[in-house]
Amino acid sequence: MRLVALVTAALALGSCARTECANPDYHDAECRVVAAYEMARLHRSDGVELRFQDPGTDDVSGWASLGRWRVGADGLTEGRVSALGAFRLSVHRGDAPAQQLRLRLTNVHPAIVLPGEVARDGLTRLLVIDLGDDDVVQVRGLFPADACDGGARVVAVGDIQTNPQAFGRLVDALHEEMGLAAARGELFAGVLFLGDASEHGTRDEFDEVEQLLARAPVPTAMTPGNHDITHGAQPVYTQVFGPGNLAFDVCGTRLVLLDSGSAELAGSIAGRLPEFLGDTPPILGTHYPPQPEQTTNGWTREDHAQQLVAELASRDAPLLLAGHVHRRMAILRRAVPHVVVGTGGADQGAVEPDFGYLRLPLDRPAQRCFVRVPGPVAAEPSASSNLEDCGG
Amino acid sequence: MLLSFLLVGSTLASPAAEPAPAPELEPAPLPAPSVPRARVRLGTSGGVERVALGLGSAAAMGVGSWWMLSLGESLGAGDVAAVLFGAGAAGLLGVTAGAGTSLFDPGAEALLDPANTPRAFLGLAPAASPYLGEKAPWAAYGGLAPRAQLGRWRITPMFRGALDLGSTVEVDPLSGGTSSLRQEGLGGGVEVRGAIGPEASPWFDLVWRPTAERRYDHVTYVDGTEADYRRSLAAPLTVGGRWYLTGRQRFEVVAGPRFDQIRWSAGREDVGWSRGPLYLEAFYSVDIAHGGAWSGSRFQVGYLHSKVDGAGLDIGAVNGIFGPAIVRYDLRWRPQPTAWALQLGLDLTIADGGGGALQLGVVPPRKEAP
Repeated sequence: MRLVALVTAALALGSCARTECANPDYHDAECRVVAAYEMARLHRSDGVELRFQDPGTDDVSGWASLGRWRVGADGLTEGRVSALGAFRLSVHRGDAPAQQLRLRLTNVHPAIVLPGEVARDGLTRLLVIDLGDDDVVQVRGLFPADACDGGARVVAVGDIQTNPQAFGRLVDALHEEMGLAAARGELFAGVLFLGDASEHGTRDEFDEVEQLLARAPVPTAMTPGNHDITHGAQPVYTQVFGPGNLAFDVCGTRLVLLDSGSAELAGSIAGRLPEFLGDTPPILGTHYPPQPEQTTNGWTREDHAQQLVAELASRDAPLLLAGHVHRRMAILRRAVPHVVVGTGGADQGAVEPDFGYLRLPLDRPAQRCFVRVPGPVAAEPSASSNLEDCGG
Repeated sequence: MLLSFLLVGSTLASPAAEPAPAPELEPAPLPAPSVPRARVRLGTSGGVERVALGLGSAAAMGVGSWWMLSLGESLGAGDVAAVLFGAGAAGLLGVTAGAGTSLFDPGAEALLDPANTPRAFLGLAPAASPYLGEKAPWAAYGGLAPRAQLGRWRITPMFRGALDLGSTVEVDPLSGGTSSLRQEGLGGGVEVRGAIGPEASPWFDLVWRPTAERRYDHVTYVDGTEADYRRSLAAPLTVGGRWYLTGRQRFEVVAGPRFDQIRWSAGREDVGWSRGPLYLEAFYSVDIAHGGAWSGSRFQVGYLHSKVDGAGLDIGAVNGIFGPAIVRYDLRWRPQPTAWALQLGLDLTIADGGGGALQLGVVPPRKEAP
């Protein structure tokens, strides 16, 4: 009888199921999706609720994983805009009295026009929002109507790991990039960071990178790498940078970043690939190269990587970007051209390093090129590459 | 999720750990568990060989670790480093298991009727425990591995198939929306194995095992759109060898490049062939003598450098680099020497995305060379 009871109990336990990430492990990509979603909304102590929203709609009933809220050390509510380009917030008054709400927004492009702005410092804006009688107030950050008239460019790079010093030089070089873009009448829309901002995924490392990025002239959209997601108990990366899965439009080009830090996609993201990739040819960035050739190791879920390549090819995607491999390389003559730029400072082995970033004109992706950012002693890199240097 | 056996040239479905070819044997009277006829290695219990393999394995792990840590796993060298490390780890685990087995089963002579890959087999892989609202179906698989002996060469054509017994259903924990995936696969190849050493007691086999397979993934996304993917994987240059440490213990490594091709929903073009990750199997096998109709069993421990089935040893920042570790036990039952034998197999894939599988196979009467 006792045996029957034990077997029954074991079977009952075995058939128990709980919601995914009910007990979160942030090494799991799905749990980072859940954490990012929850951090895209914040309840303040006075009952006011702040939400990031999809700028392509007017819906305020839900919210979107397009940014991260937190209360700053100075007590001010602070939101980090995670995507590039236009964004939208909704402020829900709840039972709070009419008041003026002070907010700090970081990672905002300097050309973005933002109502309620009272001060700015680099990529940071201070807003004062009047919460009158309306239950919900929307705030839209938009580029001026003519911002894209001369075209737009972004840059892409990944892999800082143990060398934030080199990455700092790269951030400094972005100011020159801004000047070059302005001289051509192009909008320099931002940086696509392709993962491995840290070596050990610690808060200190992420804080340092966040401070470096705050020096840049343009905002950065980020996705994590395998070194960024090592803490199972805390979503450290997400707490600092927000969602690792992002889809947004910049001057008519669909840009997508997918979190492959766990060498797979979160199940919910794999199930929403058509929604992320959209209907127009997208440019996709991940940490792990989905096409393994030459880059050898890669995704644990190979089916995710191969389905992703097929979906991109079916949309005539002009370019696939990745990091992880600490060098620059181009994998051409494939259905989706593939560029790897893990050149943000991480160790390149016993060779003269080749740090720098990819310059990518969004309307002319075939004209991409590599901008070298050498160290104080500008030696030539040892390794050759089929990804060409930018001229001039 | 499909089973590891479908991996290109996977040991689980291949005769990777079978003894070397032996001369035709007459049926022996039961219940003798073993006889000193085939591959007798008198005067050794494999201790020296195990020490040598252990040292070599440790060296491989050391070189792999150095390679990965000094050059960086992200430098395109990670695949080679992981192959070296994984093969070394399999060797070290194997010699440990082999030494332990020798303590209670010191016999070094080959079993007359050892458990090896059945000529026909069917298997079931139970589903992993899903999260609330999700479904993880069982998977079924089957295959054939007939063999032909031509002098010192053994040729084994291999045919395999597998299918999910339902769809894997993922629930978006935020929206509650569902997506599903159903996978099927067909594969085949041939193994050519040549023995080196005395005919009755070879000490090494050379192995060439070209294989190819196709995976069919049917996906229904959250928004209801459907897509079919066909993924072709070819490993035509998989070569390696098997070292017989004793008549009952052996270590086999095969490796080679892999080439992939992807095709998606009907009417679309192929994404052309591209070089995939390296492929490697490293398995240590131990035969264990039994009595009566239980003619013998086989314990295997190994490393599979392949993530075709989405299983890999992911620890900390080391993601997407290692394939799974695999433990397998096979037990053969043959009531009469001239009767067909049944063989029960139990697989355990130790990895994220791993699981277990139960296999039942048949082996022809022992008149045939074991």
